[in-house]
Amino acid sequence: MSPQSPFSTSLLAPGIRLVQNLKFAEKFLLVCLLLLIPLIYASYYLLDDVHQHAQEKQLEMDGLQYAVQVSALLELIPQHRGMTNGLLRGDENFRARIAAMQPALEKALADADAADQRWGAELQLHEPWQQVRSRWLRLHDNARQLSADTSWQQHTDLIADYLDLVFRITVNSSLYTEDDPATRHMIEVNFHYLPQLIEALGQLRGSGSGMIADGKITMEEHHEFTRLISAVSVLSHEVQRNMGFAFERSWPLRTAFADSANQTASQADGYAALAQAQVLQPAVPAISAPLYFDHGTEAISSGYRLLKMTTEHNRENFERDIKSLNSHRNTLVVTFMLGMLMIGYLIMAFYFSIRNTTGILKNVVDHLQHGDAPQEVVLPGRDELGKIVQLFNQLSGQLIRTNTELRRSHHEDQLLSDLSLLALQHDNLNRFAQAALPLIVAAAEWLPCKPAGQINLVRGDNSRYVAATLGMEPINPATATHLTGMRIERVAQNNILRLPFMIGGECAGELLLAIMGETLPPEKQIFLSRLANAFAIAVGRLSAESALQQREVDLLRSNEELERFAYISSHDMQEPLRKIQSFGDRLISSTKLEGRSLDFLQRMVAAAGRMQELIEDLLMYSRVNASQRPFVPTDLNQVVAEACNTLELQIEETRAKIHIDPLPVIDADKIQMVQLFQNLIGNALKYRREGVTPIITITVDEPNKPGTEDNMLRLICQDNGIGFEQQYAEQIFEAFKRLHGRGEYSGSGIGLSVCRRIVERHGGAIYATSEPGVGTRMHLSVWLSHKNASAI
Amino acid sequence: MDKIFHPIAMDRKELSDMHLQIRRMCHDLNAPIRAIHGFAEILQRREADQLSERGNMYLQRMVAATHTMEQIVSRLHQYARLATHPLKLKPVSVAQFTEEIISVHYRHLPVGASLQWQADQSLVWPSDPVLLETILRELAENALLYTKAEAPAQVNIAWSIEQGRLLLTVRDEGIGIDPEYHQRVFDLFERLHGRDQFAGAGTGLTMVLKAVGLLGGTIALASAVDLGTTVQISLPKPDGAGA
Repeated sequence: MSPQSPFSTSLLAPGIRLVQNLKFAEKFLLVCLLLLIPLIYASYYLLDDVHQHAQEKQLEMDGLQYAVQVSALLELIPQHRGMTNGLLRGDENFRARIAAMQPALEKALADADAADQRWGAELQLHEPWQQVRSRWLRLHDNARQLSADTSWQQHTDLIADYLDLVFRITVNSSLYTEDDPATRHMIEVNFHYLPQLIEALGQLRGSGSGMIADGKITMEEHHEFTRLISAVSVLSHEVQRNMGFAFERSWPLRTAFADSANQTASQADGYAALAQAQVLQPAVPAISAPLYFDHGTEAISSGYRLLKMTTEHNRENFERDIKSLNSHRNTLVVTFMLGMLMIGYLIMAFYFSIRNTTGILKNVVDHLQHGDAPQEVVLPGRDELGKIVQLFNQLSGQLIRTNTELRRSHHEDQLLSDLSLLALQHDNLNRFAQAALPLIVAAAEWLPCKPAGQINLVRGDNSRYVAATLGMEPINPATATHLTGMRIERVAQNNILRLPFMIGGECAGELLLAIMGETLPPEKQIFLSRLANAFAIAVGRLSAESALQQREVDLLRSNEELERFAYISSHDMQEPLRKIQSFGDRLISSTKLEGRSLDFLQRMVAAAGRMQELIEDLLMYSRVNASQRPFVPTDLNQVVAEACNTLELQIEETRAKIHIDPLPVIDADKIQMVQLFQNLIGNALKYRREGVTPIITITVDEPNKPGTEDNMLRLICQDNGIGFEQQYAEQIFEAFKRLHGRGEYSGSGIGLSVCRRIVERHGGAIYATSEPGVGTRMHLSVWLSHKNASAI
Repeated sequence: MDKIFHPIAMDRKELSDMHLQIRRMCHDLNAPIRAIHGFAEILQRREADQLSERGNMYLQRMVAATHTMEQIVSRLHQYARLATHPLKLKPVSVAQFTEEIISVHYRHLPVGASLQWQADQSLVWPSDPVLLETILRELAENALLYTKAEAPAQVNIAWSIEQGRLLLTVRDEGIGIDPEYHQRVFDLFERLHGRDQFAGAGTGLTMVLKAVGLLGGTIALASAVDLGTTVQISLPKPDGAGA
């Protein structure tokens, strides 16, 4: 996150919005296209420039070749002029020489025609050439009929036309606008100064030799001749100067060209001097006309040689330039095409790299969404996308690890909770162990263990057998206490993990698992110790529970036995009791005892009566369970009415008021129920307050709401008797425990104890809340339906 | 308070309380019994001359009846106490133990009756002396009680160790028990003999059964009518002791 100024952000916002909406490949494509447009434009421009340059050079080349093709005429027409002039002036020698040059003239004409055919139209020289050609042909045919002067004049005009044609060639083929100054100087020498110099020399030669031949010279001729001589000097000087410019930067060439140019210039100057001396000062004529002519010809051919050299040089130059320009253009085209191809390739590579990466990422995300590990590993690149991939790899790695961890801990918790559930479903240790083993073995997929295992219990019946089949020492309870940590033993090609589980610091047994490998990863060790703990808890709870249950069963049986014992005993006591009572009665009635003896006897009988009460109580108490009658539907209203009936006398005596709610029909032992209510009401009547009318109400407590049905009938029996301190609320249910002195209230006090036993036999409970001087509330509950009760 | 209304209201305290209730009842019963007994004895002493022969007979029979009642109550009390007896193991030298009991309780035997016992002097066994005494005495008493009318009791008591268990064998030459009734000997409600014929009403074996059960042992009976009875008690070595 690089800090960005708000300004740049706001300025860039539209651009960012635009770019964000494009895919990466599109972004790249956009940038490439934006770069490509000026590139293409520049390349086109450059190519076009090179191409035009090449075309220009080609045009110059064409012009040069045209000029070369027609250059033969420049030599031949002035010769023809001179020879015709000589012949017309009377020298018959020239007739044969004119005839001899005829084939060369025709060939030059044909060459020029060919050049015109080839380049004339292109250089727009067709017209001027045709004019030069037709004038030449006309002059050639009429030359001998003309006067010497006219012929000369017409030849000279034709040559002027011809020079004009050459000038137009250089103009039309852009030779004069050549960029390179050296070449331009060469061209000027080639097409301007040298032809003019040659023509001037030709005129000097022709007119001079004519004047020497007839020996006379007019004033006009004199001026003209003087002008020609100076023109030759000027032109030869120009040739020399331009050649100097042309080869200013090219020393190796300069030497050859400079020599030739100097020679041409000096010969031209020499011939000019000779013309001045021989023609303009007739007083000292030293040479004949033909000799003078030949001297001229020599100078002229030197000029021609130079002309041919420069022409050739120019042609070579142009050819080289054209060649390099063409190769330049080709290189440009190839480079451009290659560049385009490279860019296209990169665009495609970029597009596919992004598309592949995003595709793979999407694939990975799909896998992760389904919760499994991705099959492809994404290799990160070095760019930002690579960074993203790297982060993503980290994230997905983390996710996979977390997922795996989660799944593992889920499995572990599942196994542990399954074990607890199993422990709840079994009440026998061995059966629990047998049921738990397949569960642990089934977990082999994610535990590092093979589906083979055993569970040994120290007190288990089969521990000896199991350990023996695995070829290991069975657990000896005496030594088992030392078996505390898990360890791996090698038994018959298997690595057996012995995982002891401890209860109260003592080994209660061990879990034997065949594991892969020699060691266990730490997290598995942690889990295995958790497993051992869970096992220990389950086993410990199971054994504790079964011990508890056993104790309870023992106690129940013991109570039952005691009850029977008491029942039998109280029955057995009936007979001696009857004996005591009847013999006592007989003694009182049949003897004449008096005083203390009679008192003793009476007290004996009273004691027997008291004993009878006690024995009846004991019988009643022990009979609750000992003489069981089946539970039958019993109308409690009827039961209470019966109880009240029995107590009729006391009720009348005490003027007690008894209110009873309508009561339901329940499954119960009817006789015990009568006994229960009789005891309750009797108790309430017995412990009434002096001077207060006893009011006893029996109400149904909190009638069962729908949904809280628990098969219990709850009753409250309330009185307004003497009450007692709440701290004695439990003592009143104990047999023979009385809160009040024996004299105050009659009875053994076993009544409430029997009530409790009856209520308990009917699945309920009874307790009392009381306040001295206010009254007592007895809360009791009994089963509504016996069938449902046994189902619970 | 709500938990009292729970369907399973009989908790263990309440159950074991029952033994206390019974014991308390026995205690209460003892008072009038002792009163009757005492008054009867005083009357017998003071008024023997005043009373007619019939009157004296009445008194005697009253005393006998209270004696019976006392016995019954005492046995009920014993049983209730036995049932809640907390097991207290300690090493018992069997020979010494047997000698003490016999010398205290069976010094004076009926004429002609004999009580022989044998035990290894070095035999020491971890057990509860109270329970052990109950077993020994009840068996001995039974053997002395159920004798043939014409022959005095011949009782043999033997202690031994076999397969890691302590064996007590009590053999008599008494009336024996028909194998048909062997299963019913230990049932409280079953009386093989009339109440008048033998005193004690046959609760003795019930007590033995209880004590043997508390010690985790077994009881075996071999008997036939007129051929005497052999009772064998087999007691395991208690867990955790002697290790």
